[in-house]
Amino acid sequence: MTAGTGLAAADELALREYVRNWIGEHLTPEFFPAALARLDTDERVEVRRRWERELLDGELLASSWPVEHGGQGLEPWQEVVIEEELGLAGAPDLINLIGFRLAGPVLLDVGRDEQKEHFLPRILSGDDIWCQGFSEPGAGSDLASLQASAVDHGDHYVVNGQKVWTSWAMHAQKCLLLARTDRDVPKHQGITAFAVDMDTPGIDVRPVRQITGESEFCEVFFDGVAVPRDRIIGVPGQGWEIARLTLLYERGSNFVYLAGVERTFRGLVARLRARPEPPAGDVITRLVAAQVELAALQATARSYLDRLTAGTADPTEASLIKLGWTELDVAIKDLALEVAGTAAVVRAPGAEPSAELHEMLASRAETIYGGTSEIQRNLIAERLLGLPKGG
Amino acid sequence: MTSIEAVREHADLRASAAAFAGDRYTGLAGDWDREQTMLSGEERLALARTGFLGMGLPEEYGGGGATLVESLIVIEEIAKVSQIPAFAVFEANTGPARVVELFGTEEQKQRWLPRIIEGTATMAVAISEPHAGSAATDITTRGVIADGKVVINGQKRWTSGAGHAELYLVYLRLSDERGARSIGAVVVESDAPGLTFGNQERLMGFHGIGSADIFLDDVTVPVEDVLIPAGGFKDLFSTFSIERLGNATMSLAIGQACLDRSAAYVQERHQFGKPIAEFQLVQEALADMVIQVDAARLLIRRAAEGAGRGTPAPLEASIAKCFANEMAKKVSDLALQVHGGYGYAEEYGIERMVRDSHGWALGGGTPAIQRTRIVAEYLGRSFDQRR
Repeated sequence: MTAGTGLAAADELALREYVRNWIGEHLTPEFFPAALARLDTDERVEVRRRWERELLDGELLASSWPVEHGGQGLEPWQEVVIEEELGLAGAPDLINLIGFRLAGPVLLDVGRDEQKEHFLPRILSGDDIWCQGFSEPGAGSDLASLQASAVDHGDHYVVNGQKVWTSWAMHAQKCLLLARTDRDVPKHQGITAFAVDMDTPGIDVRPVRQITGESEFCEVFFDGVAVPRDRIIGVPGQGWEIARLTLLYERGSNFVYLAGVERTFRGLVARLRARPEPPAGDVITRLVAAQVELAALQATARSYLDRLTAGTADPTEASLIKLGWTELDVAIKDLALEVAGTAAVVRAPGAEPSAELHEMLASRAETIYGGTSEIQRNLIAERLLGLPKGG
Repeated sequence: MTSIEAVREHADLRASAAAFAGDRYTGLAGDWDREQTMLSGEERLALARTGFLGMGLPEEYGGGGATLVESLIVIEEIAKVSQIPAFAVFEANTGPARVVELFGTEEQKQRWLPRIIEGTATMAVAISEPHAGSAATDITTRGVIADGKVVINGQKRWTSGAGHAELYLVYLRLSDERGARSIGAVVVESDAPGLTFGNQERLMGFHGIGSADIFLDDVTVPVEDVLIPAGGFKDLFSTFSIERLGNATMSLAIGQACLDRSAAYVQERHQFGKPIAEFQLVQEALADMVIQVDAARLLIRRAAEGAGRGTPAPLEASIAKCFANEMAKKVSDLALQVHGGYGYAEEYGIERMVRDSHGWALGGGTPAIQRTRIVAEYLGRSFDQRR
């Protein structure tokens, strides 16, 4: 099977084989994390753009988008198979993750035809990288209490407020923005979603330095920013529904990340195998616990995928996988750093940190973004287990 | 002094150290970490003027003659604000200066201790080598004694303060015997010919404390600078126990600071219309932090009280260090989680404590090594790690 010959008709084995072969030919060393780590931020963006172009040419990106909008029309499970294989192979993250995995699918679901025709090709061409203007200093886990305002001025809205934890905002051309357009209705009903051009006057992007020393997240300030009325996604007041849809798609990315956890685990085991001496007792205990947890998570993910394909899945099940992979990833990367020893926490002047150190530090964002572990636990307790709503 | 008086005095000492550290370092700690700023000579003199720098060293050399408990209280309070100045107090009161106090000749104490107490010199300790980390007795740095001099050759690694300190307590082999029997220690001045330093390492944490390789190339010192003669290494375990409590206290400071900041944050931060402290899962995290910090504090206190102005019981010191090191990693991680994105960002300083917490678990004998020590002490036997 080759690209263009109908991936949609492929069964799982054939699809996996195609993806693996494709990866073997296209995932060249320039895309490996170690090579990316040596580049400055702008260069890294360019290499990731090239990677996205490769994926598109191989029909492995936007693959569940409809054919008429440039996708392959694949089933959700087929997209998951592709993402699992990419995760296992250690493929780099997308630079336009939000465009391809969140904004694009949201526009396909609720965007007007002219919005789809305008925005989707620009995502596919790489012209528009998207960021996501959701969280605010006072509205993190409690997203519905967001305060950024968009005031109706007839043919346009004027946006004022501050967003935070906006990934890659400094490289983005578009922002999927949530703002409050009506303060007289319950908080969930007064929010509207907009597609905002990031070069509009009044937008100020300030990178936030994080634990890794990098600045992938930003604060974004909106000061009297004029947004045309036709940039409303859906209808006024539909913002909360769109936010929930977006978070659902975000949690759908769990499969690629779970595959990444398996890759990290395999790498750690391989390094320990290569050593002449057996690991310390507590390393064995933690490693075996991680193996058990990983196997259980993979079984859970597989069963969720089956129900997703059958149309019987409860969306909250995605929280099980999100909670599971993020907590497990932190535990494995913590162990990997310990096993690597003192040398891994040191770098020569000018050199990049060790992979183990960078990965451990970076992993600490995982149990926070996309809904913290505490939020996931509450969702699971209330919606999957039917427990009384707690504090 | 009655125990009530001691408690009151300790409370006063704690408040005084906390006020000093808060006033002097709060606005600087983040910048020092970001810029990897070493403690300046001026800041070290300021610490000396407070009396904190040499408080645990004997009064006859200008020190404060304080107990180990008192020194640890001050180390904790300073470290809660910034680990960089706290490290200087740690080195002087629980590090190599205590080795000088406990094992040095009168002449050696007169030469080195006043400089440390006055803040004109810091003594760093050089034990580890590229191929001798946890297995400290694998060191190969060699000192040959002849004609009243010691000629030293070798390489040291993971010396905190290397390139910055004025004095180095260098552990080395002073005879041809194998294992610990030939290991002793010599004090080397930073300007000794043949003593050079590698580049400053960039560490995960410990920014501003620094670490570099030390190269000793025919470094020659008078035999009067031999602090520990060959075979004295085994006696040093008692002073390692003092240092382990200093190390454990640095971890305790991280845990306590993370707990304090988290306790404030969960009451200030509102989500879903109420402070996040109202949510059970946040309460659970905070309760775990309280339990962990309290237990570490009690373990350190038990070992330190037993020491007085002397040395702690090795079993108690190892238990305290092992627990406190792991506590700081867990508690700082919980603090990061409780703070959400703000924990991950630099501005709130939580991520700095997460990074620093790992360093204390790697230095001074890892928790894995402490566990081996604990079992050995508990069973009253030794385990040969080389078989």
